[in-house]
Amino acid sequence: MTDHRMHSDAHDGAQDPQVPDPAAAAEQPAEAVQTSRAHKSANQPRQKAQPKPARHKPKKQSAGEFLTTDIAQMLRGQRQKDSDNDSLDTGTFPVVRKKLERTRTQRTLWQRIITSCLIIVLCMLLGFGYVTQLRSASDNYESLSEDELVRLLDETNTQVDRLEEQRTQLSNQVASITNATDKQRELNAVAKKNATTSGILAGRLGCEGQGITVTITETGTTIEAARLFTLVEELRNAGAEAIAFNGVRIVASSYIVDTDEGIEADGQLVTSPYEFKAIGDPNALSNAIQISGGIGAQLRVRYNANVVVRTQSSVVIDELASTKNYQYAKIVE
Amino acid sequence: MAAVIGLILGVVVGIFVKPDIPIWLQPYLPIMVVAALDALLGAARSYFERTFNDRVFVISFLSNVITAALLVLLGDQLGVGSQLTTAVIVVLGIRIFSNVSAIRRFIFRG
Repeated sequence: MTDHRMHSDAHDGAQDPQVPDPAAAAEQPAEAVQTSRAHKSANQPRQKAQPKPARHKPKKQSAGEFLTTDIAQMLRGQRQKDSDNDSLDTGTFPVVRKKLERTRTQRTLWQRIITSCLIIVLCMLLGFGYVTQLRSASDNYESLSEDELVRLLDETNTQVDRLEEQRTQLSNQVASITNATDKQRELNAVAKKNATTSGILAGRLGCEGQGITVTITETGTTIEAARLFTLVEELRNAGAEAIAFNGVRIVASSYIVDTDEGIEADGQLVTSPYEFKAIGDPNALSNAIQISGGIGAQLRVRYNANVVVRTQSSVVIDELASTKNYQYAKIVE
Repeated sequence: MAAVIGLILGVVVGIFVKPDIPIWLQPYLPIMVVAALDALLGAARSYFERTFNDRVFVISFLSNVITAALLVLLGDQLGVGSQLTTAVIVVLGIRIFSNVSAIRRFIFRG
């Protein structure tokens, strides 16, 4: 402590020319720390300040005050003497310039540690706040100038336009894809329907529906294949959608011929009783057979055959036509 | 020494923690930082003038920060928040300049 004071005094002596600096004196009140400090160390500034008024006094005050100028001269002489005596080597110091408040405000070690910890914490807070503010200020629009904001707005607008355009394109694409899939689905449905109808027509699929069954039993006279084919034709004319004849599916390419062994339909021999199954409007079908002078009457009259026509609400035709290998016909793509 | 250590520690912590400032603190934080900076420079000046006192520093630091924040808060409530912020910044800036010039005078002797 004594060492410190020694330095302090020596320093004061060295810094002497600075003390009367008017600029420094003017700044003094603005400094809070300094001001509050100045209250505590009232002793020292008075010592320091003393030469200042002494120097300026002749300008400021009236020339009549001889006493003060005398005191000023005396003090100046004292200060000169003090600075001469102020030597670190000898350790002799003028008593008047000693700072007393240092000893007065001496604190314990614990207090010093606590205050330095507080200082560390406060400075930490300052650094922390500074860095935090740095980061937050960088991504804030507040810190941008008007030009930058306008440019930013322009850029954003351009980007929005571009994105809108892109969105339109993409939604068009989506619409076309949706259309295409719809069309594809429709095509698939049509194809399925077509497959069903043509399957029934070509005898690829079994089918079921209301219709009639016609049973013809020979009694002596042999019925010719042409008669039976006429019956098929009549059924077709009446709108039969599917026809089966003794286990043979009758399709567009079916034939019924007389052979030595008997009647052959699509390569299969058939014998009496002949049974036809037809799906279609039952009334129309039965009328086509039973009409007076029609095929039913002819069979009964000319061949003494027993012809029985039954209308049924459900006729099942599960006979399938044999698939044909087409040699010449090709599918049109 | 303690101040420098604290400052470095605070900056390091701030860099690594990356905190999110709560929205209510956002208008006050810059002012508080500037006020704290002013207190720190005042302390540095008083250190060079050999009148540094830790207790005074702590009190001046806290009072500077709180006064600045309260002024801005008051300005916000009266509807002159941005103007008062500017005023506080100007005053603190002047003080910082005067402190720095005093420190400079001590360091460069002129």
